[in-house]
Amino acid sequence: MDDEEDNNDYQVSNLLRANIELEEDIFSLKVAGYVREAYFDKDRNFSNLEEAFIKYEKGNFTALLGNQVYNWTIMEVFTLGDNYNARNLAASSSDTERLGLPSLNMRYEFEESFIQFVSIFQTPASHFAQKRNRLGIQFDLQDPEFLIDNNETGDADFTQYIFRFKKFFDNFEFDFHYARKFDTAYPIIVIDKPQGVSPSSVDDLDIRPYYQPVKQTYISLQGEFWESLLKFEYLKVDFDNLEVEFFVPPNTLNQATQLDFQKVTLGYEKAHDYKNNHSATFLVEYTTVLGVTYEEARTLGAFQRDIMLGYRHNFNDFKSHQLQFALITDLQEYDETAFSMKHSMRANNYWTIETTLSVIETAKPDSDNLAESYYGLKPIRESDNILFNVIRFF
Amino acid sequence: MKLFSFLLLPTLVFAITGREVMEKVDKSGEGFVGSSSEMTLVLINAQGEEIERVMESKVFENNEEGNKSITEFVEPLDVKGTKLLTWSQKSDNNKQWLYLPRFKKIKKISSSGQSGSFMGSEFSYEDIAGNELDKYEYKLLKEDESTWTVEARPKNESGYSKIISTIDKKKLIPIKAEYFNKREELLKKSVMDKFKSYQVGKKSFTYANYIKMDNVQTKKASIIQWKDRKIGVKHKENDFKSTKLK
Repeated sequence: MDDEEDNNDYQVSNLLRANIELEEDIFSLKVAGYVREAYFDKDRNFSNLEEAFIKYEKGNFTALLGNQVYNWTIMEVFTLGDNYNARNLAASSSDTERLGLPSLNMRYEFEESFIQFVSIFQTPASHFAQKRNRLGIQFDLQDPEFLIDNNETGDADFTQYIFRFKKFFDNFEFDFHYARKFDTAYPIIVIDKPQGVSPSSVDDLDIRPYYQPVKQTYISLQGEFWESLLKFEYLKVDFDNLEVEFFVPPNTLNQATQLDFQKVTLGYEKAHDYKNNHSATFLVEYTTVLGVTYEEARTLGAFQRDIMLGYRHNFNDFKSHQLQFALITDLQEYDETAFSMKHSMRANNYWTIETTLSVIETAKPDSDNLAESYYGLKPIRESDNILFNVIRFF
Repeated sequence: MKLFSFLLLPTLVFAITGREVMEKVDKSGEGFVGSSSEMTLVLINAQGEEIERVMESKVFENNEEGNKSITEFVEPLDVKGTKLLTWSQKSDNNKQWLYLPRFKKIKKISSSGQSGSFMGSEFSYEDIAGNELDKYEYKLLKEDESTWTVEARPKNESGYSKIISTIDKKKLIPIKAEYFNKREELLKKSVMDKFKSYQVGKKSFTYANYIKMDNVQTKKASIIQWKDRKIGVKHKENDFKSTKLK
C-alpha cells in the first residue's frame, strides 16, 4: 500500500498458464503462455504467448522459429543480459514476465563454444503499469511508439538481429553479444504535443513512452574460484539518438533523446550446507552506470550505483520451505533502499504457496523538481506491499 | 620394550589394495555406453511419513573425461522441466548446470553446493553425480569370502570425510556404504538392493535398482528406485551440453 490515498493498490487476479511440448525426430514444437484476469484493475488483464516455436535440430545445428525468450544474464538482480524481450511491467508477480520475441534463432555448436544468430522479425512493446498500479508513475500512459527518425514513428526500417558467441573454458565461461535492434528497456517517457485546444489539466495530456534503435554490446564472464562463483557483466548501449518532441506545460515544446551509457555488474555467489541438511546461498551483486553523470544515470532505471546482499535458505524438508532475503541500497547517495523477503512452500504435489514482502524507502523527492519523482526507485516510493501467490499445477 | 610391543601387534596384509579393488569395480562398470531410466525418490521423515518425487535420467559414458548425465524433474509439478546437467570430472570437482524453466535461464552451480541435499532428500548432489576413481584415496579395511570393505577419503571438496563401502566380490559393485561427516562421525548409511543384470554386447553389467539412504543423525531416510532402466543406450554427447538444457 502506498501512503497516498489516491494510489492505494490492491489486487486479486487469476493466472492460467499452459505449456505444451511435442517432439518428433529432428523437429519439436513448444507453446507456452498465460492469461491473467484481474478483478479490480482491468488494465492488468494480460495474455502473453511467451514461447511458441518450432525447433529443428540436426547434429551441431539448431534453429528455432517463432516467439522466444532470451534470458542470457548470469546475475540474479542486476541483470544486464536480460533485456532482449519486452516486459509486462504491470505485473505484480515476483517473476519477471517477458513477452515472446518473434524471431529466427540459429545456433551452431563447436566442441567448447557456439555461435548464435537471432533475426528479430518484430519488437513488441512492453505493457506499462497504469495510474492505479503501484508499479507505475501515477499517470496513465499511452501505447508506446517506435522512433524511426527524429519525431517520426513507425515500424522498423532496419534489420534487427543479435549475434552471440559463447566459449567454455576449463574453469570459466565467456559470453559476448552484439545486437542491433529496437531497445525496449530504456524508453523516453514524455508528454506528447497536445492536439487542438490547450489542456486545462494533467488528465488532458498524453504521456507516452518512445523506443528507439540501439546498438548494444554485452560481455559476461563467470568462473568458479575458491568454491565460489565470481561473475562479471558489461553492457554498452549506443542509441541512434533520435529526438522526440515533447510538451512542457503550460505552452513550451522541447526535444528529448536518450543517453548512451555503459553498465557494469559484479557478482559473487557462495553455497553453504548446514549440518542439519539445510542449505543456503549467499549472493552479493554490485552495479554501476558509466559514461554519464550520476544525475543522468538516475534517469536510466532504478539502479545507478547499488549493492545487493542476498541470502536464500532451503530447509530441504517435506514441504520444501524456502526463505529468501534481498537488500538493495544506493551506494552514491544512500537515499534509496529496497528490501524483500520471500517465503515459499509446497503444500503438496499440486499446490505451492508464496508470500513476498517488499519495502521500498527513498528520500522524499524535491517538490520543486517534479522530474525527480520519476528517477531511480522514487516512482515506487513507499509502495510497500505483500504479495500472496497460491499456485495450482495441473 | 616399546619396540617389541610394536612388533608383536598383528599386521593385516591383504593380497589386494583398496585402490586395486576400486579399479576392479571401475573397470567392471566400463562399457555400458549410456543409460536412460525413470527414477522415483521417496523422502521419509522421522515420523515415517513419505513423499515421492519423480525424475528421468540419462547418462552418457565418457571414460576419458568422466560421465555426463542429465536429470529432468517430472514431479512435483512446480519444478517440472527443471534439468540438472552434471559432468563428472576424473579428478576435479564436478561441473553442474541447472535449467530453470520458470526463469527460462541456464544457471551454473558452484561445486561448493554439491554436498547439499538433492531435492530435499538424504542424498546429496555428489551422491547422485557418482564417483570417479581418482577423486579418492583408498584403503582396504576388511576382506572376507564374499566382500571387500574399502575406505575412500575424498581428495577434493566433499561433504564427507570418508565413505566406507562394502563391495560384492562377485557382482563387483557396492552393496552398502557408510558416510562420515567432516568430524568423522557416522552420518548416513546406504543399502543397495533389487540387483539386475544387463547385457551390452558381450559384457554383462549388474546394477542396484534400489538404494535406501538412512540418516542416522536425523532419523530421516530416502529411497531411490529405478524403473524401466535401459543400459547400452547410444546418446549423442552433443546433447549433454548446457546449451541443450533449454
